Amino acid sequence: MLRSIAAPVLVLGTFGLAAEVCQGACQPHEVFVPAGVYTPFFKSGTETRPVPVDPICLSATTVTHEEFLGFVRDHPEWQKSRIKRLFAEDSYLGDWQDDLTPPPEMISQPATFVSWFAAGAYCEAQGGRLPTVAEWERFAGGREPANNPGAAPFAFAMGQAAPELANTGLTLPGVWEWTANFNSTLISGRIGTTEGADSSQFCGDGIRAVDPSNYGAFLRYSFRSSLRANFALKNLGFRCVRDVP
Amino acid sequence: MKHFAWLAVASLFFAAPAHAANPDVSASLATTRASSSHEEIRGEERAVVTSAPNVPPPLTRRHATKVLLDVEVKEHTKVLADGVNYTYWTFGDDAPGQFIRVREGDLVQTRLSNHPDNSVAHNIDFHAATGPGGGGEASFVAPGHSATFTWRAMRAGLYLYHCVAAPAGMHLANGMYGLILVEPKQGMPKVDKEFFIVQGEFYTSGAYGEPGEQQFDMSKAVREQPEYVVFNGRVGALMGENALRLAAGESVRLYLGNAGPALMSSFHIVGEIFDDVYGEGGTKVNQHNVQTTVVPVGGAAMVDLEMDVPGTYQFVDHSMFRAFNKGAMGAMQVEGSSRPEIFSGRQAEGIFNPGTRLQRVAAATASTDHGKSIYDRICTTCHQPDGRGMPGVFPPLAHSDYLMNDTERAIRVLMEGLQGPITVNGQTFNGAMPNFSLKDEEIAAVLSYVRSNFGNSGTPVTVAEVQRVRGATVRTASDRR
Repeated sequence: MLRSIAAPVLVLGTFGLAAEVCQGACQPHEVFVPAGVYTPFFKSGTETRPVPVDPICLSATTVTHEEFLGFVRDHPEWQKSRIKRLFAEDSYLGDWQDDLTPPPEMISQPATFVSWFAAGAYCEAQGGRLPTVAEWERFAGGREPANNPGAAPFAFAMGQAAPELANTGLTLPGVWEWTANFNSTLISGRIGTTEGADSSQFCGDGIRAVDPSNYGAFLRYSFRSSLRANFALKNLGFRCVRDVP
Repeated sequence: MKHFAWLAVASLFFAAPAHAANPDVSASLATTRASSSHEEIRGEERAVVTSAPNVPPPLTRRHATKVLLDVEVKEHTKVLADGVNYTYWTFGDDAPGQFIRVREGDLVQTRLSNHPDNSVAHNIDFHAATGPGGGGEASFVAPGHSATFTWRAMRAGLYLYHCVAAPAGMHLANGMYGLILVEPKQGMPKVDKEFFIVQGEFYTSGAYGEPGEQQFDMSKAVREQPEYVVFNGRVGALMGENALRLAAGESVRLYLGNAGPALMSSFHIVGEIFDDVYGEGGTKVNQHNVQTTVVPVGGAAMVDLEMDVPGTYQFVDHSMFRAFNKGAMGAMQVEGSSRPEIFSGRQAEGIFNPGTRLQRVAAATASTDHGKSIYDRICTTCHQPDGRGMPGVFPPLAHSDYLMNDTERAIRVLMEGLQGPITVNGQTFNGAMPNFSLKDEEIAAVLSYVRSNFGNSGTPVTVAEVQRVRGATVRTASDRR
């Protein structure tokens, strides 16, 4: 495993070489993302502490209705009429006509109305897992240009690909995507409680953010922190990653 | 401006303190605050709400109740200005959201619903609520979900509500705000009409007025440089057909809010004076006779006034570039009979021509038919080409006793100008003629001309005569130079 805490700059510097060498470890529908560092959007205390991120094979696209149909055929317990209520709210696969009929016009569009449990089960069935927030933000959380001309608020919030992932066949999200630890970021644990109100997940976040003028990142973290694992939303899909063997 | 009236009455009874007649509803604030937290709740009812600029009627309830308030968040494209679209985030259909009217002591059960089509998480923070985040955390909700929480309206006053989900400034700048009035138990003093106005800013990618779909511009927002500063959510929301309509003599209360998120508002009605100002939206009238009141960002104010004189009254954020260049303007249209004892309107028009540099140069270069050319250039505007003047306004020179009977006086009028009543051919005129700074030879020429035209047959006036008069009035002349 190409792990580099001590010399992340060196790894990024040799990125081109690493990409050629390691893309072979990933499947055709995946993009190799080399090891690197991720700087969390929120400081830990007063510190900005970059964390190392392992290399991964990242699905190039968001999982589609068609792909999800294959999954529920093979795993009927995740069909909309059979799923355990604990694992998804009523809106689960809400745009499907029945257990095996996704909306025909959307067949190659991202599958949404999928809960975190179902998304995780899908990835596991493919030998993968959901990306962590760090992994997801590395590939899709790029800093948007200052004036983001033409970007609708939603696209604006999605950020953009890291420059080193240009020309890799990676398709950026057109919807929100689940992350494995969506609710473990600093702002999410207090939803529905009054605990920690003094540090204020809302206004106070500006003080704790690494870059308080990065409104796209605020929207992403805010959205993720509003989620619960059984939620199935119209604008929320997912993609999988695999650890590099 | 009704206070002038009652002050006059009050002064007849020497002991009457100036504030005795004020609608100060805070007199028992200390006691009501304590009792508001555990006043008995009787029954329940749906919240009384209205869309801008209308305000729900005063509450008639004499008890506290449970108020059921449903608020839905929408993200949708709306018109910001002619030809300019913007993706608003709103409570209900519009920015500002609906005006909510509850009574002090009420329990407000609030359900916030985030439409499934929406892209981001939202919440609601009531400045009128007492508790963490004003409900921000309790109501934080993903698209396709709703959240319910209950809070008690313990303190009377006018309050802003808004979304405070991160990044809060962007949610405010996209339109997520409104006003809630917590009526004091004893109610608000009665007025004839009530409206509400909320000031807000928009940070568009394009410059003010640039047509098409405009997007939120983060860097302009962080620099606090909005392209738009508007009343009630868009340019012209309160102009023209949408002006606030009133009858002369009516009293009106304006509930003012400022969502910002950056700029303090200096709210001013051109041509009116606020009789009473409930500063910062509190329950106390803390000033009378106010020309401009501040509405802080994230705050409010209430103003009461009486519309005395009919006409159009524009209101502005008196930071005037916002009014002229960014949209911060609205209007009140007041119908009724004129009130000349208060305001006359335009009574007369006149020419103001103290003599400009250009004219003096022109006069100096005039050569042929000197007197006529001076008359045609300077005098005809008022005295008319035929010298007959205008009845009641400009005295005639034709057959003029005033002109012909006293040459020296005529010279002095040309030298110094003339102001105040004069009688010409038995008719009184009360106007003004400026001093045109004519040279002595010009005065002689033009006087000679008018004294021998328009049916007049007088002798010419010589330069020497003019110089003699000039000598007699040398102090005036040197002052002038």
